[in-house]
Amino acid sequence: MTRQMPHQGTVPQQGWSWLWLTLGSLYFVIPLLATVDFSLRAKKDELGFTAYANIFNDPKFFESFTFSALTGVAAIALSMLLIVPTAYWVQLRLPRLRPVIELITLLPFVVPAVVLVFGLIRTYSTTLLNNRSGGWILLTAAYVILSFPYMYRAVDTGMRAVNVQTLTEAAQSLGANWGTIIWRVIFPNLRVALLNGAFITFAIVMGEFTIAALLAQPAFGPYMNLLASSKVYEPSALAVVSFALTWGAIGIAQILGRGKR
Amino acid sequence: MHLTLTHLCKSYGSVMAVQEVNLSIQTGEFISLLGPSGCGKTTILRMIAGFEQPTGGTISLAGQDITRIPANRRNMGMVFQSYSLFPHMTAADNIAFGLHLRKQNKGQQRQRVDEMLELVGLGTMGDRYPHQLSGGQQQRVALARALAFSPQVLLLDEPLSALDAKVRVQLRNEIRRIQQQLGITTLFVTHDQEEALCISDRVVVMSQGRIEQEGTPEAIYLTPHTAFTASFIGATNQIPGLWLEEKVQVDTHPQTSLADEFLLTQPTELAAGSRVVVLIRPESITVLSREAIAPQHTNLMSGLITSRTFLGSTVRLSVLVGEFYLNVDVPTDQAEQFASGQLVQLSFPPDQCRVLAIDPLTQVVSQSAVERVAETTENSL
Repeated sequence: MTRQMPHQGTVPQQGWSWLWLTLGSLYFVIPLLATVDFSLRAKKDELGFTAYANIFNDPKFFESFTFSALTGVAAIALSMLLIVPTAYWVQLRLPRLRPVIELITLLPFVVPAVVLVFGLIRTYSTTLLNNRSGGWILLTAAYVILSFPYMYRAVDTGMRAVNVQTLTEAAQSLGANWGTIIWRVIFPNLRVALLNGAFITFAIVMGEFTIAALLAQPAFGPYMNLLASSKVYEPSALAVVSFALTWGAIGIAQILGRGKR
Repeated sequence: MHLTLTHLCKSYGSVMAVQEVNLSIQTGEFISLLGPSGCGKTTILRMIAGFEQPTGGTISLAGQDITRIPANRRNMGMVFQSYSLFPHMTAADNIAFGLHLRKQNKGQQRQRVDEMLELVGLGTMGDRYPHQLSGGQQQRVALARALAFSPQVLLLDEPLSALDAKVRVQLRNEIRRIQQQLGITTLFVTHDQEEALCISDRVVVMSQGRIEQEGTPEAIYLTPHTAFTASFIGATNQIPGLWLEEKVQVDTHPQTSLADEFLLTQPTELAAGSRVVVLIRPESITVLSREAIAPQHTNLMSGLITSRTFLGSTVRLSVLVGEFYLNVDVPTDQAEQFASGQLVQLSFPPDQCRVLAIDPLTQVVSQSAVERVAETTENSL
């Protein structure tokens, strides 16, 4: 019987891996723990949830939270309606356009939010922004644009995982029109991809500040900023809540992603 | 006539994928489009299904021109090469999909789904998802789904190519049984000659976007009209020579031939002196030792066995005759007497030899001459 010798250098390499992982984890975890610790010290010499209670008792917290959540849901729905047919058509009929569409969807990474919102304000200041709900419509539209990189990539990856062309042709041969194909065949097979895109978009919308503040919308981001300028412990508590929401959304996406396609 | 293709053409830029295809299919007929990859057979099927628009010609179904009708309104069932079941639906839901679109009520749908599952031998598997089924089972469900709404035509685009050999044979027999049971007009695309010959009423051999030959499996195999058909369907030896009216002077080296002229029984209208090619199947050639030659053995040539290949029921001998290597199939139980390096005599029965003209300019088999040969052959049958 022969014993396989461990690969030379494996042990030192593993040691380095653990070292960098530990350092990286500490870099993220220490500030988080410090924030949690600080948020629990609202009362002198006592750890407690006073700061959290103050937040949850503030009606503006729920107003801004609900506003951002609804805006997020609207942005997700619009983004899906825009991205899914586009990605589907690119995959099915215009594969040569994929690099162009990918570039367009990456624009939110290149164009800063402040540039985007000033562009929107200059373009719509005399029309849409004069209406009562004009600001909210612009905010939702801006969030749809912000969701492009995440939603398009998730949907495109999901479509590549299923044989879109064959499924489409199979549905056509059975008598389905385009609407039926997208709604009954394509959408259900993109469930996981759409959930991933949706939760990431939701997390971004809940924490977004620049666009909402410059459009003067009562969103969760500006509320957090307002709180930070007037309170001491509550902003830390809100940061922890916001962090939990973001990770909760990503966690749900991961759990749902484990289910069957 | 049920399904008719008239002057059907399809080009992609400067590439002609399908050229002037004319084909008529009777109701209840099982037709196979057979040819190598890129010969245009799948393109024809996709044009019939409505997934591709022809650049010329028409497609008619039961007398109605359907060339411009969208795929979802053609009422044709189709089974694809790749697994095409909807992954988020059970087998039963997949089968019911077409019925639901045709507004059948739930009870009728359930009854039809059960019938179809029974028909394809998957009676108890209706509640399984595609990922819980084997490849063969998935294709059975796909077949049931394509048949459930009683389409006018069934289109099969190499549905067996992703399956292993045993399942393939089993399923092709099932497809034929079901097709005959339902009497549905079926068009089957395949590059597997055995598949096409086994289950078809008629085989259409295609090459480079054109129909090379169409006919019953027997006619395609026994009387190929072109060198391509002869070489694509089964193995064929091709021996060039000169046509000398009822016989061919073959181009083998004279010293190795006992007779360098082939007698043929096939009537042709070829002019004496034409360049031709003699086609003969490996199993049609008789191998003899010198002592075994008898008066009934005609068209004798001598050759040297260069290799033996065991094929199961037969052994294939490669025999060097003059400058040509010929393949000769011998039943395994008679092959022991032949070894590599042995000198043997080959007998080519005149009635098993086919002769086709070669175009003097292009050196390929002349189409017009082939047609003349075909017509003469058909008239004489």
